[in-house]
Amino acid sequence: MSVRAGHPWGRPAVHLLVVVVLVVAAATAATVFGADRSAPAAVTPQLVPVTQTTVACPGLRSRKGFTESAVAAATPPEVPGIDPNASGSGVVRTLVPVESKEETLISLREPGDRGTYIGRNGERDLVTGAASGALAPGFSVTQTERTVDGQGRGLASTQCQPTGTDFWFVGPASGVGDRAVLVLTNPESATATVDVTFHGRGGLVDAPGARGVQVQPRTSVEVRLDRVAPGEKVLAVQVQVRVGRLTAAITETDVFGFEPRGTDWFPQAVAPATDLVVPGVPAVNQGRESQVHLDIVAPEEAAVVTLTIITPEGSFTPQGADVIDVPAAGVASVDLTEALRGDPAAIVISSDAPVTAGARVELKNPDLFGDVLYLAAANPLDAPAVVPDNRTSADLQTRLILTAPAADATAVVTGFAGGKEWTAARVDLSAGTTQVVTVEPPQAKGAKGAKGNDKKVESYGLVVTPGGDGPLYGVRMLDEEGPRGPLVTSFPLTTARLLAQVAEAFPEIAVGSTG
Amino acid sequence: MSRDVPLPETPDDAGVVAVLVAHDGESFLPRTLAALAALDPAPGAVIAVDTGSEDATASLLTQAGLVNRVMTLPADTGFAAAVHAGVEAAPASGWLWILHDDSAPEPDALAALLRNAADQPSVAVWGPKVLGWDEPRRLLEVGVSISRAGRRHTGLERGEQDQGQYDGQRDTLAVGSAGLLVRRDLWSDLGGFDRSLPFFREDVDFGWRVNLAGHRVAVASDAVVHHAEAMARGRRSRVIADPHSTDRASALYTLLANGRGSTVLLRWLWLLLLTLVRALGNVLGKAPREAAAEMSAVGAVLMRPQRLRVARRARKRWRLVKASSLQSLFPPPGQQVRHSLETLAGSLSVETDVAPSTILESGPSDDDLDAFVGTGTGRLRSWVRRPAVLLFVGLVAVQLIAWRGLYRDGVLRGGALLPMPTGASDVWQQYAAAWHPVTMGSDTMAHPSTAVLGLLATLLLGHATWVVPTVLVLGPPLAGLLAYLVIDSLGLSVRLRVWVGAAYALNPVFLAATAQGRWTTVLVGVLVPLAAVAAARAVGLGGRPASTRAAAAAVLLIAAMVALAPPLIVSLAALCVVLALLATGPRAQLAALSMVIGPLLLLLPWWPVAAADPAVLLLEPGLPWVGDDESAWHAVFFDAGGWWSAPWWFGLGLVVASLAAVLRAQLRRPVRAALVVVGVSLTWALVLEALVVTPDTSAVPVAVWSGSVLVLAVAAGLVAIATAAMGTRVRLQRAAFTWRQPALAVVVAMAAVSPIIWGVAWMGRGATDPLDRGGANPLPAFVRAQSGLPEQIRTLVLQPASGRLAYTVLRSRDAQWGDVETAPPVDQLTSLDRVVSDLASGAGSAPVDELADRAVQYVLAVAPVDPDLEVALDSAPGLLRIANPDESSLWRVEQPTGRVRMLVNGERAVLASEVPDDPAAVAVDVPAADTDRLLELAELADDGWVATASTEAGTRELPTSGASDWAQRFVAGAAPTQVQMSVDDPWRLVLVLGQLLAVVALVLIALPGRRRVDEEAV
Repeated sequence: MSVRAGHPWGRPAVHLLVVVVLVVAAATAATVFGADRSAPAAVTPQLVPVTQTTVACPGLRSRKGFTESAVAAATPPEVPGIDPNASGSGVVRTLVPVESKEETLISLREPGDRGTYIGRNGERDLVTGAASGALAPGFSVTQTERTVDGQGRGLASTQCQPTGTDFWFVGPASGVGDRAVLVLTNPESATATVDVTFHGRGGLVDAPGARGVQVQPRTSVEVRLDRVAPGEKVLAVQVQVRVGRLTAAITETDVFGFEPRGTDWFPQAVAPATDLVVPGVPAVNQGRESQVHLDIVAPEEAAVVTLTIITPEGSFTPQGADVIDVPAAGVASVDLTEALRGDPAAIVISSDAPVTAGARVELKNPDLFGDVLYLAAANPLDAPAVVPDNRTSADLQTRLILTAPAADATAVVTGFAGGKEWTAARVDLSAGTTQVVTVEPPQAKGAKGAKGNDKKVESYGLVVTPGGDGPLYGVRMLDEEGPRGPLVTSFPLTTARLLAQVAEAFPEIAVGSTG
Repeated sequence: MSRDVPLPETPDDAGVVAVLVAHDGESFLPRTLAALAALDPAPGAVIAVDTGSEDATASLLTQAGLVNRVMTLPADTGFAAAVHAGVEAAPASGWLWILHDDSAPEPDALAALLRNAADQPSVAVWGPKVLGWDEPRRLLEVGVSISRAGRRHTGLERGEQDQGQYDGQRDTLAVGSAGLLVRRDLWSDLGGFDRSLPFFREDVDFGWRVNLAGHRVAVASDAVVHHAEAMARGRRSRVIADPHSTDRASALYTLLANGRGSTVLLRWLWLLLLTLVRALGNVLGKAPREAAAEMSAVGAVLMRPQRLRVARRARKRWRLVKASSLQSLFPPPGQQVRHSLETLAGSLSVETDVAPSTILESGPSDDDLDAFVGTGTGRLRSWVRRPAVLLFVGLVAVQLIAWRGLYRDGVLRGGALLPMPTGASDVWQQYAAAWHPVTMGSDTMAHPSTAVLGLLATLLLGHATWVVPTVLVLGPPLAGLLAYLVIDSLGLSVRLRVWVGAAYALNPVFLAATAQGRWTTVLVGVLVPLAAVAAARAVGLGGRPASTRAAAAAVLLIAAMVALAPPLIVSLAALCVVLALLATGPRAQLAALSMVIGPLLLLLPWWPVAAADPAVLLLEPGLPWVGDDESAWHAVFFDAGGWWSAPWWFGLGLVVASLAAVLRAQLRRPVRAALVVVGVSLTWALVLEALVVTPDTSAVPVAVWSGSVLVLAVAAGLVAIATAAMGTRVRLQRAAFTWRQPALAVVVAMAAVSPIIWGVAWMGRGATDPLDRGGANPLPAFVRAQSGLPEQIRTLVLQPASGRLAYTVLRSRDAQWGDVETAPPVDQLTSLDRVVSDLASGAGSAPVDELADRAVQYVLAVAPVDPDLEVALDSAPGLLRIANPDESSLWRVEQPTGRVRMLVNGERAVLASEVPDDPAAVAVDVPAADTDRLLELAELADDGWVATASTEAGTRELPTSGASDWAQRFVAGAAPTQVQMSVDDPWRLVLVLGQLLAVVALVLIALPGRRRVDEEAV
């Protein structure tokens, strides 16, 4: 390439230089002055108070003369972002096939109000609760049954649930002396169809009778587990709603010959996952003939599970039960009575395949009757939990068993009743510990209750507000030292539906070609 | 009046009489007569027949002194009749030798023919090797045959040079009449040339008859005659009014008179069909006269069976040989198709014009390596070995390997690609529709790319779903092949051209576009080489005059490119303006300007859309691309970004080589021109890469895709590099060794290896992701079926999107290509936004009534379903979960709804439409009522909607009601009526029809005309 004489601009090399400079300048300009084209950041949806809450209870089951059944409903006194003077309604009604014949049991008037309905006359009603407007956030309904003698002796309680389509229960049995009943309640106006799947120790249990169960509108269907899947020492039950929606609950009443062994409702276990926490194992007096069993189900593939026990003193791995093999589609049970040494605890489960879990706690005094309570893998408490029906008397205590498995956490427990509010407890949990909190009853009423009839219990509401860095898990437990032996029940603290996310909606054609 | 040379006294049985037919041949005769005089041995006698010449022919013949007798016949005498007259006047002889006034035998021609005749007594007719008049090396004939379509077939390539490749004796069907030597007894037996064939084909007919009579016809290549073919090439003053028509008629006559008896009817039908097709082709080729000729040939031959019957009966007498035994003398079928393809390939060069066949010839070949073409398999082999074919096949193989993940059932989608409509008619319907069934309905004009899609779908036999796989798989190889063929005009070596072809087909922009399902970009890439040739010819680059035909083609191609990728309009317009400034001559400047204005006018129906929302000018059709983390400077390296693109350094070799080409820009004009294109395109691409726009139809800002603009830059860059590289090696070898040689070696290596890297990486990665095949049909089958019922219900489809909720409303079909562009503006959907947001919030105030107002019967949350959303919808009163198809969840709105509802006293009743599933029309029966009713149509309110009520009393238009903030409402009276609601846009129809007419007109102008004059021979 000969170098050309003449004007320097005529030289090819100069041309090249000019071009390179121009290209670099243009590219730089485009890069520097160009608009930001990165994807819009994920938006945090706006939170607004819920305006409608509907729940259904599995139904009061009482034996005339022996059982005291209570349905209680409450809304928390203060919800941030909601005007306490705004109007709303919160009612608990019976659920009967003909809508006009339903009967109002409880009617709440304002936020912070609560109400109890006590049935003693052998009724067996389905109950629904519905709140709207200012009363909807945190509207919560529970049912509690106390049977003092005879078959079915025990304390049983459960929180009424919104309808859903997929439920897990771990721990019921269908052997001799185990009377477990699955209650499917359809509060909607259309028939629901349900498939129930049973996992036993040996894997899937063939239960053709539990396929395609139809639940007519505004009725419930009871499925006795010893009929559809008999002879199993322990079961995991999955309820899948194919059409419509409903609520599901399982209750079990155990007898040994003529000796009542207790009764309770099974709480819903969370959907299978690889990391779970089963909170709420109560303190067990070691002298008693008490037992704690953990049941783990691996619905899809076999799982290898490791356990960590979190007690007030800290966490440890139980000897001899640190690694558990769960067969595919089967349930593995492990006896943790020894390992727990009577301490209150939560069980942390870590698995290599999705599992879910539950625990059965049997409390028994020698020579006296006992009672059972059931636990389940639970979700952490993200926001306040509302428990409407708590009692304290000389024999009966309301306790919270709280666990902070990962990081320090706090809980503020506020009691409310009759327009009064008080701080019932403040809890600081350091990471990896469990605490049992005995709830302070309302002062005046507590004193009055103590003076009066022991059987006459005063009831109050609780709001448990989590705080701190880490997740908080917990159960609310009632335990009574009865003359014929202990009575216990518990259910997990669940996050109240106070606020709902309102995601901004936008039209997007691409949605029409997915799936 | 004649001064004849006396005839020889004694007839010579072994002797030869030459019959020379002349007509107005003064420009050829001197040479012909001189050649006759030089013959050794000379024919025993020469009889000249002059058919009424008006020039000096007669005197030339008589003065020559070697013609024994000159006969003068009237001017309307046919060639066959003239020969007959000459033969009758000739003295007895063993052989007849027929010559034209424009055929000059070489001195030993007759001797060679007679020598061969003596050796091979079974051959009754001999013909010479016929070479060109002005180009003595050019082969014109070594025997002739006739194709099944009646085309004269010589078996030669166009312009084939005589290198002895056909030497020797060959049996043929016939030989041309110039220099035809025939045994006189056979001539008499067979009756000589058929007098029904006044001009043309008499030689083929005669040879065919000779063959059928059991004699042989052969060519002796050692005898050479130079022939001007003055008649066929139109160089002779008009002898007959319409040579084309005569030729076609003669061809049809020959085929039908000699063809096998058993198939004559079939053959008749076939020729009729063929003639009609040819006539149509001629009309399209702007040759109405030829079309008329074709048709007149039909009238002259096909419609006169009596004439054919006579001819066939006459031939029957001599027929001795089975027709099937002559099979080898006819050209193989398919020959014509191959020739047509070659003609097409030849049309891609800037310099050579399209070379349509003349009467006598059948196709050119311009490729470099096919000089020595044999016959049969050898021909096929050499064809396969051509670099163009190898390049294309190789590129297709690369594509097929890269496509491996997509050989399965399912709908092609992903990236920017939405599933295609099923048929071409669906596409056209979408293009012309006044109302689009997208979410709540819109009257937006369809994107112009829809028209291109419709065109392709129509070409693919109506399969719109074939368009995208065809374009994405075959598009890049085709683009590479076109690039290879087009740059032939620049005089590059085959190696450089192959590099350009491969690099273009595998360029990073194509890879990114394919993986992202952007078929529009790939198609633009295919059109770029064609548009470049058309534009160059239109303004007369390459030394040819500016061509209107090319300008029309350029306008069409540029319009198609802009339709596919509107952002191209800026860079293309800039380039056309530059071209106009540089063009020489007003005609060329006009052509350049027309290439800007033409496409703009052609896309007229779409301009209202672009005017209302200019953002669409910056966006290619397809799903919007949201979220670009790439810096704008990547565009310099031909990295367009998007869902997936090759790493930016893939373009490094190309960029470095382009910069190196700058060094040669001063010396070579093509390099300079190509670099200007690169500069303009890259600048615009950089601007686009820096932009983010929100069109009215999108709720989210869209990152602009610059791919189509970059394709233009890549194409021009490759041209610049290849042109600059021409001859570099030789030059540097001559120069002293400095740093330049190693530096250049690095640049060359980088450039050379680039397409290899691209191809290997592409094969390794595969075309999948985000492009995919599979389920794209969120609507469960029963919902789809129900949507087709008269109520015309809809489904709300939900999908959480990073804290927000994306939704769409589907009617009886899933989302498909074109919906993005025809969606209603998002600001008209704000009320629906709020409804959906409330519904999904789980706050409990489920506005299910509002869904029913919009004819939404089902709510579908597509997989993966957000648990919160599921809980919210589960707890929404009035919504019932009914099924969980696949991974998604479906709810039903528990009140009946439909597209048309009647509102009376606060009650709502659904009315079933009698018009099935028409987005732009509904018809309902409105029952009687006490009061006025409101009819609510679940479509966005639009002025275009008109409701007509027909009662027994007559029809009247219903007044609209403005009560709804979004829906189209009409007020109906109390009486029972039948109401028709429809949306009409007559203007749109007019615009679309005008567009269609303009396209047809441009196509007609752009189609190659039939050439009437042979250009090379002049």
